[in-house]
Amino acid sequence: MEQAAVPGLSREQILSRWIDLYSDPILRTCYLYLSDLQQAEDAMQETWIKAWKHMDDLERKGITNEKAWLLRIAINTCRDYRRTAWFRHVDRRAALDELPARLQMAETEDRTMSWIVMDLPERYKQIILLYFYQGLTMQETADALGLPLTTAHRRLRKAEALLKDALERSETHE
Amino acid sequence: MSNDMLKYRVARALDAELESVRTTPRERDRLYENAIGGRKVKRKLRTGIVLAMILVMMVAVAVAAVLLTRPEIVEKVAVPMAIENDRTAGVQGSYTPEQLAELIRTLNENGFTMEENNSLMQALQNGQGYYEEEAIMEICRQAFGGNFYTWTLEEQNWFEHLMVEIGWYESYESHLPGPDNMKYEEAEAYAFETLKKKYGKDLHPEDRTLYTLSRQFYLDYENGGRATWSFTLDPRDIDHGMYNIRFADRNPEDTVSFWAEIPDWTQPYTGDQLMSQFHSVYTWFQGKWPQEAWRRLHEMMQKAELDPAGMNYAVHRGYLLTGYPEPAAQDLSREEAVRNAKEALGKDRAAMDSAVLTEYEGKRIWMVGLVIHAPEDGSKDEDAGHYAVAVDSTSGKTLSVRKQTTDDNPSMFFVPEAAYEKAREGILRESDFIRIAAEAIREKYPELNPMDENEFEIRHLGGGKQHSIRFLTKSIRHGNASAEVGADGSVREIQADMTPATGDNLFSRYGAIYGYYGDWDQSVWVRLSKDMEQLEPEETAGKLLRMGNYPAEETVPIDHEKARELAIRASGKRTAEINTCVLIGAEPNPVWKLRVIADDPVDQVIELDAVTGEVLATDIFKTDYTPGYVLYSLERNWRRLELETEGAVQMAIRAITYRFGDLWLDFPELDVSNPDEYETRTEGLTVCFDGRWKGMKSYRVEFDENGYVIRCEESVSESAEERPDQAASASGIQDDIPMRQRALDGSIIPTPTPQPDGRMWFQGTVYPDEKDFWEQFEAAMTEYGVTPDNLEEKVREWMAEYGADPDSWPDACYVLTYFMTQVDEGDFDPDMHPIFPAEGKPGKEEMKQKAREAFHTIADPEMGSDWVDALEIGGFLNSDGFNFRKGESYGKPVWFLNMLAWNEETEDWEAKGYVQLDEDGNVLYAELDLYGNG
Repeated sequence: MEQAAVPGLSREQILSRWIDLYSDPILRTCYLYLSDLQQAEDAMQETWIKAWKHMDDLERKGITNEKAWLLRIAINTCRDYRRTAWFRHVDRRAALDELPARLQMAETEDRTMSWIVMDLPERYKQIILLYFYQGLTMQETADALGLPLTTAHRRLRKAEALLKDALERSETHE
Repeated sequence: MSNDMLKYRVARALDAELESVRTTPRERDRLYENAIGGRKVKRKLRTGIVLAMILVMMVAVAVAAVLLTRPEIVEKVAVPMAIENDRTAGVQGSYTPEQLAELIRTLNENGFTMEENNSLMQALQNGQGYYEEEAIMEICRQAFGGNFYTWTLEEQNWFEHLMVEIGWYESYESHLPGPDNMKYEEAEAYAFETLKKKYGKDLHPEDRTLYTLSRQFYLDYENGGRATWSFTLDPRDIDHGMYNIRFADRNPEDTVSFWAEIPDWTQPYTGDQLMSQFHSVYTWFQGKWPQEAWRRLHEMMQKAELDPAGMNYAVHRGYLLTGYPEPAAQDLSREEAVRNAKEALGKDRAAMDSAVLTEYEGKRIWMVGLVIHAPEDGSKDEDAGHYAVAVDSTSGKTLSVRKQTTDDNPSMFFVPEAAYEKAREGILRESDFIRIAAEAIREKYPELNPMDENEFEIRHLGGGKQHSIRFLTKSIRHGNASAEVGADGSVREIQADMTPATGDNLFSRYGAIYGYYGDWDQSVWVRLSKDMEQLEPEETAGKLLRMGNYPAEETVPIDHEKARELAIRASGKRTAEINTCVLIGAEPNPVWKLRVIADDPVDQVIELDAVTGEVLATDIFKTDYTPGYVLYSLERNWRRLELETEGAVQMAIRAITYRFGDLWLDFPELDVSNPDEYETRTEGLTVCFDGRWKGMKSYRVEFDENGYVIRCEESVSESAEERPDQAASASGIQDDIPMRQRALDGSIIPTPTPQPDGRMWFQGTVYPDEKDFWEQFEAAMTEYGVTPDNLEEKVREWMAEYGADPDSWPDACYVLTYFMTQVDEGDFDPDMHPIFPAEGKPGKEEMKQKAREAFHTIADPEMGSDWVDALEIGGFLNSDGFNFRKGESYGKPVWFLNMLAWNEETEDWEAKGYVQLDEDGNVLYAELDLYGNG
């Protein structure tokens, strides 16, 4: 997906526009990656600092999808965070319940799906988030995760199979 | 469930679940400021409501007849309203449009008005609600001025207490000094005096016309939670710098620290640098700048070095040409100018965004920016957008009304039209870039006319320094054309697809013109048929299209509507989507061919007699897996042709996949084409795939001479040969075998103790089954005194002894921890695992050196080599640092090294290297990336 830059905007205005457009997708991605809202907010802040510093890369490297680029930075940032939290035993399923109360409770079906996604092995969860939820293309997803395209494809297929399997099992138990 | 449906369900579920994970405008402002300033600020965790009902009872009193202050309005109106929302709809909500209106009405009734370009007012004008927290903060900003940190400590404290009480903040950031602390006045005096000493006597920190003072009294947890004072002077104009001082309450002299950013306008500066400074002093939204700021900008732009090739040249030049006088008695007032501008625009929903008095060539003109917000429900509104209205400051007449287009730059709202045009003289515009690209293409390809709207559709991508102009073909005679145009009009990468129409590219040309073939109506197919008549396709798809001989819909009694109905009925689905509905020439009658899409992993393809309505054939179709020509050619044609051109083996693989594969997968193909797993035999029109190892399945497919499947069978392989371990590994079968069920063949394994919650150890990785591995494992457990029950204690010991990063531990400790910890799986690759280094082989340090040598050979010599030597081991990529792992794809031990260079100045990863080596140190793979996260 190609997105046209807005002609005539300064770097500051572009950043401001990005922050308005992409803060929420980035925050959600970081949250789903880190399972910790406070860490996710920190990671998002760090993502914007890095985006500001490296904004020129976008043009120099001919990157056309700014959202994919920003999500890549966010994921790399989250990876650094996870590295420091290597020994933390996080129960990812609990994370959803720690969120601020929602405006509306999700339907049971949605909640089941969210739990299943959150409970997927990390490598499969990442690909589902980027490809299914954030709407990146397969190539952009592979780039964001630093994977060869074929590996990303293989991982996606496995992730889909796991999701469907888990859904079927959850539906059988209900 | 189809993958599209799955995708939709995942997105819907996560959207619903993460409704509350979002940012408010204020938070986004702060993100912006911190990003620009390169500062990382710990944010507060907001939790659910606390004491909400108590507070409701405390403050839910009727608004008294006496006038309220703004803090009282916050306490007695805004907060109870928000709490009521929390009670009924959950925290972190927004005020409804009605609540926002009531809030603003209350403010007005008590004598407080807001500027029209205030976000609350604009939301009200647009019939929208507003974020609660942001609305409350905005009222407080109006009451106390500035932002949170410029408020007095008492005001900060009042606000934070309010936020904590209603549960939006979890803790206080700002504190009040107690009897044992310095008094505020003493701390401020000390700060000012020290700043003067440090930065010179010309600094007048106490002068509030020069600086805005931010202050904070907080607990510094990075230094043991000591009480700390912080003062920041933000300049009120661009001549002054920014200064910060902080010191501990108890011991100021020994703990004081400073930082400052001091501009020096005596040195040469660019327009961008100047604008950047103005943005940081007056905020990036120029609509809020005072008239004085504009005057200074104009003045200082005279001395700026403007770059005609720079992307903001026209903007800077506009400010250079335009004067910004203070309104005089004879000038129209700002309010009158805005009123006149709105009348001229004639749209009720227009709100004021900016208003500045300008002067150009002796004319004084109010430039008024108006905005009409797009409807919140996402519906289209042609009027929505930003408008620049010029009002004569003397006569009050409207001189021009212009709506911003993509070709405009932001200065159009602050520069009179004549100056705006003058500033853009010689600057290329969108139409120029398109013209330049078209001319360049025409010069290289004289037979093309990219500007002919019957031949091409124009797309303009990019902006700033590089414009990509694409001309998308509307003709079958040629393909697309494109050119890249720089801001200075230089052209590069001129391309055009000049291949004439052939039997093999005609279909894609039609796609470029008419879009996706699934949506074509029959007239397009008829036209395609006619164009195909003169062409000689060579590929299967082209040949089938040529055979299609697509007739007009009017020649048959069953039209496409009826055909759709019949197809859905034949599919047995109650609701389904049809895409691809094509009438194909055939004997004795033409045939309708339709694709029926329902909530299934595969679609159905149905052939109907277009005269009798009889169902002639049904087949299945798997998107991205089955060739598309199946959808627009007769089954009897494509089967026969495919058998001729592709051969029976490929058709057999598809038949087996459709019969036995998991069709839920995008690419459900079974592994029968893998020669390591299956031996393929062809006997006439029969294809056999014999499993090579004992217990595997074998497959047999038999075709008739027209390519139809007569038989497709599965059986147990007759092979008596045991599968070698390596083959099992390469096939990926391990993924499907639960880890704890894998045969361990007498390996010595430690006896795991379940964790308190019942989960077992050794999760998240392939289970090694080599006997010598477990012997080493047990030996290491003994050597380091590790049991499953004391691992956490051991980990703490290792962290204390070797550092927090497991990469720095002895390899054995790392391996033990890896297999004995329930870890976050993302850090691990189940296809490989760490193992113990073999004796007599090179160790970690040698491998690091070999990695650097490898990087030197691939590094760009122009970049120098110091940075390669600065690379240190780190865990940036998927694999977690410097491990000795066994890679499945290698079948032998492989070192995986991720190496990083940290730049202290930028506080960012500057470069990274990744290398794989075998256990003798031979490089298998190496790559470098200079830019880290970017």
